Formats: sequence, C-alpha cells, structure tokens
Amino acid sequence: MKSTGITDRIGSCDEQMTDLLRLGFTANEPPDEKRKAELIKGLPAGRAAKISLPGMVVRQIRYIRPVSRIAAILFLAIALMAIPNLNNDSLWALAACTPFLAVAADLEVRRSYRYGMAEIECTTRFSLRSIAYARFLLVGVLYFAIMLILSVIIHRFVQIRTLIVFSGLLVPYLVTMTGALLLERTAYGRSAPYSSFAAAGLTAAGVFLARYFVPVIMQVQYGSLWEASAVFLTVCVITLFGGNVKMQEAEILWN
Amino acid sequence: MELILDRVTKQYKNKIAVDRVSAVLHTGVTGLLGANGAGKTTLMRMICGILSPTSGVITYNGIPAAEEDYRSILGYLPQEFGYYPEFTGRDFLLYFAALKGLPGKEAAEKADVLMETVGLTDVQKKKVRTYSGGMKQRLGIAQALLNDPEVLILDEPTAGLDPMERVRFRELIADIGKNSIVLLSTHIVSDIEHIAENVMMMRSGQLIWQGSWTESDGSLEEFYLKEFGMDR
Repeated sequence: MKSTGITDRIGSCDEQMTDLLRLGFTANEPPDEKRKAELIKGLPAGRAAKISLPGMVVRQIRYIRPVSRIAAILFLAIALMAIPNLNNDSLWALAACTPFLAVAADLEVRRSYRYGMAEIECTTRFSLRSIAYARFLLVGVLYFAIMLILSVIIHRFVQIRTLIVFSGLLVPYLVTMTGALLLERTAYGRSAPYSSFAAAGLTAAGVFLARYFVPVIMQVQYGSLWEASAVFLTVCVITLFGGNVKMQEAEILWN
Repeated sequence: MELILDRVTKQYKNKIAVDRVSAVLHTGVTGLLGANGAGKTTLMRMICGILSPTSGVITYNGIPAAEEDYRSILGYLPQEFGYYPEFTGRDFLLYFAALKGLPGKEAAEKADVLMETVGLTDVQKKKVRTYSGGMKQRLGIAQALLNDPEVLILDEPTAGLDPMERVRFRELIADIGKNSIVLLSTHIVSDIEHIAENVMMMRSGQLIWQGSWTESDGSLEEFYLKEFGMDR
C-alpha cells in the first residue's frame, strides 16, 4: 500500500524519536578503574588521627570502671586466701565465683547505652563499635590473665593439669557471658542491665550441682572435654558479642 | 567547605520524619527552626552519621557522612546526653578527646582551654552528676569543640541555659562560625536571630523555607510565626 505523506513523516519521526530515546537511556560507560582509584585518592581526606587505634585501646584502660577492677582484685584475693588449704572442693568454689566476673564484664561493655553516652560516642572518630570492642578486649584479657595465673598457682597445689584448671575456671565464666549476651538480644535483657546476674546465679548453682552429682568431671580424664568446651564457648562469646554490637548499631541507625 | 544534603529522606514504617531535604551549607552559622516534631533532630542525626537516610546523600567536601574521615572533623552536641557516674567534668573531656584521636598532652591543653571558654574551670574536678543542667550543657558544648570541628552540629544547645549563659553561648557560636559550618537547631527564634547568616525552617519533615536573613528583612520571629500559620 502506498503510504501518505503524513504516515511517512510519522514513520520518520518515530525512528528519530526511537534513536533519541535509545541515546537518552543508554547508560554511560563505567569509569575506568584506574581513573576511579585516582579520583578517590584525590578526594579531600579528613584529619589524620593523632593517636592510632591500638593507642586508643590502651587509653581506654583508665576508663575501665572501678567496680570491674575491684571484682578482679576480690576474686584474686579470695583465690589466694584459699590456696594454702586448696583441695578439689575449693577449686569448685572458685569455679562458682567466675560467673560473677562475667557480670562485671557484661556491665562494662554495655555501659554506653546504660548511661546515655552512645549517641555522642557514635560521632567520634573511633566510633561506638571500636569503643565496645576495646572494652570487651581489655576486660576479657584482664580476667583471662587472672584465671591463667591462678591456674598456674593452683596446679602446684593440686595435681591437675594447668589447662584443665584454667578451663574449669573459664567455662562457668564463658557460660555466663554467653547467657548474658543472649539475654541482651531480648527486649527484657536490654531494659534490665542487671539481668546478667540471673545468668551468673544459674551458672554458679549449676557448678555446685555438678560438684555434688557429677564430681568426677573435674578429673584428668575429662580434661579434653573442659578444654573443648572452653574453646567452643570462647568462639560463641566472640560471635555473639560481634552480633550484639552490630545489632545495637543497627538499632541506633534505624531507630 | 561545603556540606551537601541531597534529597535526604528518613522514613519510619508509614511515617516520613524527613522528606527530601536538600541544602548546601557553607562556613557560617545556619539556624534550623521548627516546632517540636518537625524533624530537626532526625535531620541532624543523619548529618552526624548516627542515622542512615532512607534515601538521599550527605557529603562534606565529597566525604560521605558515614565515614571516619568525616567524623574526624565533626563536632556534635545532642539534645540530651548522659555521662559515666564516676566522671569529673575534666575526665569527660579527656575521655572524648581520646575518642577523637587527640594525644594526651594536646588533650589536656585543649580541655583546659575549653573548660575556661565555657566557664567551668572552677568545677572541672567535680563529678558531672553534681553539675546543674546549664553546666552540663556547657560541658557538652566543650566536648563538641574538642577537635576544632569543621562541621559543628548543635541540637537545641541553649536548652537549660540561663539568659546570661545564652548571650555568652551566642557569642561563642558566632566566633566558631567564622571558620566552621555550624548548624544549630532550635525552636527559639532569638537564639539564632542575630548570629545566623542562613536560616532553614522545617515543618512536618519538609524544608519549607531557607535563605539568608538580615535585620533589614524585618523580624525573623514574625516571619517564622507567619510561615507556621501562627499570625499574631
């Protein structure tokens, strides 16, 4: 069929429009990776930190709460007093004390939220995440070191391997910490900062029950069980803590 | 120096707290006016990187607001803030100086200068819990200034200050505004009337007016009331 002049013009218009639309919607070529890197490098940077991240962590030592330090000293003092008359029972008793160290550690890492400092700490160079990890690391290292030193001393008095004694002290601590971190994930746990005491109480009660019902588990043949439990719980605590930090950050970010 | 807010939006489920706010802030004091619930605090939290915008971008000289480089030049005073119970006023400043990356000696010097600037030198060794509301607010302002911020965000900074303190505070902010971008939110017009070169007004999450304001333009308060439909 022979076309009219109008349809010819519409046809050519359509083609022109199609070309223009195609041109308009064609994505630009992605920038060359090398040029992109140069561009990012050329962007104005903020001021360089005058202290490093490890420097900041070290400076956090002086801001660890006195009660966390007192808890450590108290535990050490009780243990040292018990050592001259040390037997298996006193080892169980010491193991029942470590959950309360975990409470002190838990309260330490949660205090930004408890005292309303989280918002300003979020806006500082090192951010809330770094502060939470710094506290977790410092208190954790302090308590681990105390338990390790005690284990070495205790080993000299009772003929149980240092690593088993250390695991025996560490496992109740880590069980409590795991419970406290799990509690923190609940609305109740977040609104009740002392809820970790409940986890500590239950763990301590569990230690005493184990002493009366399965005392054999603190013997050499069960050493690998204690050690494996300590490793497993350490991984749990680190994972849960990382998750909680992320969760709290997200809560602030999307609040 | 340029702080760019590009179509910044924050939505909570079916409530839009900040609705496509765009602005470019330069050196000087910018006053952010709006009634309670207008979205001022949400906007300021996004500018500080505490809240993520649902959409839109905030950058300072090309640096996104969520980055460490940005936080290194940021000073922020929230509407409400707490303190650790064992802290003295000086401890409070030294603690934040450490988090802002200042080395010990410089932090101590800076804390001394700022304590004097905000008039707290006499009480710097007292626990923060013994401070009055105005003193805590001044301590918060000192904290925000520790790193000589290029971007200073102050959310209702004059709350709790007495009239004399307000005057001193305005002078201090006007001074800082000579070299930094200062964004100051308030619902009290007189707080910014004489010091803000630029004024932004928010209502229901939207920026309803922005521009410079000079005395020759008339009373900012009357204009503000008119814009908010509260003609006297």
